[in-house]
Amino acid sequence: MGIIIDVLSTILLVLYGVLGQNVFLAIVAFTVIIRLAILPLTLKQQRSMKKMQELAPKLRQLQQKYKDDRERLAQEQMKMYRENGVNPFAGCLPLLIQLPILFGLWRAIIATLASSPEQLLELQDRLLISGLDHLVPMNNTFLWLNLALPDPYFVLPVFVVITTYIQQKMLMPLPEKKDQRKSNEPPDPAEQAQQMTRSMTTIMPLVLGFVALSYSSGLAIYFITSNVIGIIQYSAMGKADIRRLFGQESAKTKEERAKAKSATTTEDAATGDDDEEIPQTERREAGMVAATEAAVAGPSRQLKPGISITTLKPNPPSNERRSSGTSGASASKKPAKKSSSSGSRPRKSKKSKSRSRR
Amino acid sequence: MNVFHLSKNLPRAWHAMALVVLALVLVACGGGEENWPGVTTTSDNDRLYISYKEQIVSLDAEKERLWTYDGDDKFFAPVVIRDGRLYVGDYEGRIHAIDQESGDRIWLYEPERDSFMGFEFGAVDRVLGSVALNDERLFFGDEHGVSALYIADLEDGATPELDWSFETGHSVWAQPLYLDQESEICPDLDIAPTLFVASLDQKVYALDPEEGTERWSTDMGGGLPGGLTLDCERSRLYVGTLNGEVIALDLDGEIVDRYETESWVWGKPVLFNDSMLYFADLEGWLYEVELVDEGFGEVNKRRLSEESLRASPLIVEDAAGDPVLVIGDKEGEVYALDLNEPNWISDRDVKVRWRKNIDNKALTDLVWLDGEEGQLVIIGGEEEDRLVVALRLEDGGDRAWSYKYGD
Repeated sequence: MGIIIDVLSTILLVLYGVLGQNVFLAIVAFTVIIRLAILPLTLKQQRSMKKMQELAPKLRQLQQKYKDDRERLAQEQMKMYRENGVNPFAGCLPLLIQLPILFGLWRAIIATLASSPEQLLELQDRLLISGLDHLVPMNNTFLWLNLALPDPYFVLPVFVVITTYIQQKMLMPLPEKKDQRKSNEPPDPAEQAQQMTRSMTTIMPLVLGFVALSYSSGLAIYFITSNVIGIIQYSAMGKADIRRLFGQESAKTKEERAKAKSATTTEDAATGDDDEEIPQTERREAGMVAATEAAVAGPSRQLKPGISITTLKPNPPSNERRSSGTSGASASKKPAKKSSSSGSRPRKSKKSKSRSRR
Repeated sequence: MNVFHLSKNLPRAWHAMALVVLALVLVACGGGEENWPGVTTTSDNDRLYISYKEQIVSLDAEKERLWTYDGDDKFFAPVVIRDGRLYVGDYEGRIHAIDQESGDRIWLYEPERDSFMGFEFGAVDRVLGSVALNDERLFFGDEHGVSALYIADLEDGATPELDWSFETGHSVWAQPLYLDQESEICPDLDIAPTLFVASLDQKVYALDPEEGTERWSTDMGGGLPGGLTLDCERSRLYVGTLNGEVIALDLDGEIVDRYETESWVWGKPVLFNDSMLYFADLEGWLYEVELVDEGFGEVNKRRLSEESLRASPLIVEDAAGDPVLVIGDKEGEVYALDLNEPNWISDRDVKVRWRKNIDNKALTDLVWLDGEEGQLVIIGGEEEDRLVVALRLEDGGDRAWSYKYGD
């Protein structure tokens, strides 16, 4: 960790020298460079998370199926990951690699601003190249701020809270109405994750605001810059939706949600209490298809556990289903109106899929 | 294990708690505001004053506590003693005047801050360096420069008012140096009353002490965290810089000479016999520079330690009247060198009288006390269990006592 702080402190001081000894510009440039440097890791992490999100419904079905056999559940989960080419830790690894860098960056800003004699003394050991001594200590005055100290007027901590909230809110999907899930269903993993994300949306800005209040204003500038870059980055990638800030859905999301709801309603009405008669394999596979479509249609969309079995029709049969023909027959014997009403749904789903791809 | 398994059974309150813990970890990871104490002795070297955290403690040479002053906020600067009073600034930018005998507060100056509906906010100018005084004013450095309080003719219970403030480009951590013709330090000096200030903005300023206006300023090319050393004989000032130099300048701000060191020089250079200058740098080098009319003459330098030598060296006479130089490094090694003997015995080695480790970083400027069993060298660091340590000068640096914060 020490070497990371040393390297980053040196870079920050070089930037300070290059940018006319303006510490504000140095921190902004420093944040941009670090964010660009870890962009490949961020993208990898996002791809991995997306894959995991796509697999969440499958995972849930496995959990339902093997709820009494943990060992088997673990085996099946691993098998599923293998078949889909997903490494469950692939999302964590980039994060783990980023963490020391982000912590180092944090510490480097504090170290370089050297608000106390002890910090200035430590800085001497951190500089890895010579010729920077004349830049020490950095001129930490910017507008009304002494960047080595917390903002006395609390302006920056407020901006930290606001930008963190905006970033989180723009990325977070809107919560689904509770009545869309049957009361006797176990909690959806995706929903659980969303719930956690919602907690984060509220608490994380406050946490960072608290940190910004406690530490140098330079750190607050880093947080704000980083948040703004994050918002721009996600917007450029089409992952941010400004309507979410106001608790509204985009037309696309509304349409998808309406489709999902009508599908669920139809299916609920159709399946009723006969749910148990539907073979587990078909239900699982149906869930997979719908989950994949939903995920591709929009990563923010809530994945629904209840899915019509007719969505199986346009999809190539899996080995498992081929081996259980009677079950398939039993499924097709479900009320005809369900079949007719939902017969067009796969096409609609495909439309939705292609739209989102475009 | 899948995260969903974990999260499934965790109520939202736990998520919140986890984030609060994360915040605390982040705050902890940011590093604390720990510093070393300020230590001062009386001119008779019979009492020690330690300023650390919220307390000023008075000890005698045997570590007997005489009194404790609670200041409500952190102290870092060593106190300054004048006419039976101690003066010291704190992290809130306040200046305390304390009775030297009783430890009672005489007055407290509090800087004005913006307020809204009784709630105070606005920048707090920490005072990290010692103050300087003349008969009328008290001068102190802070985050924005240097200020003066008018302290003459104060009635009992009255609080001094801010007389003037002068902004520098960065904080002032060093003690300002006040000089006039009646100065006890240099009685023969022909100079108008002047306040010299070394700032982290790399400049030395000469100010009119009555008005707070600038007479001159000179860029030293590096931050100046330590103080200015006055050479009365040559009418010069010496200062160490974070750019790795020690610079001699005259009292009109002209640079007379500069000497390049191996690393940052933090501690104030120490003058010995009006002919030699001693200082150290943060890579463990100790320097002995001959002072000549043209500036710096012959230089001896040796690597005394592999660690930083932050503080100024202490030069003290032992019981036999021989001068001894004492200095400590960041790993707690304290070195004593005989100045009457040739110390610079080779390119690599320095002859050391004794060497002791205080189990603490040796960071404070060194002072000495006249103990019952001989002189004590006083040095401190960050470890609160051994915040300040007294070593016997005569007995090979044996530890006489150590002061634990809160004792």
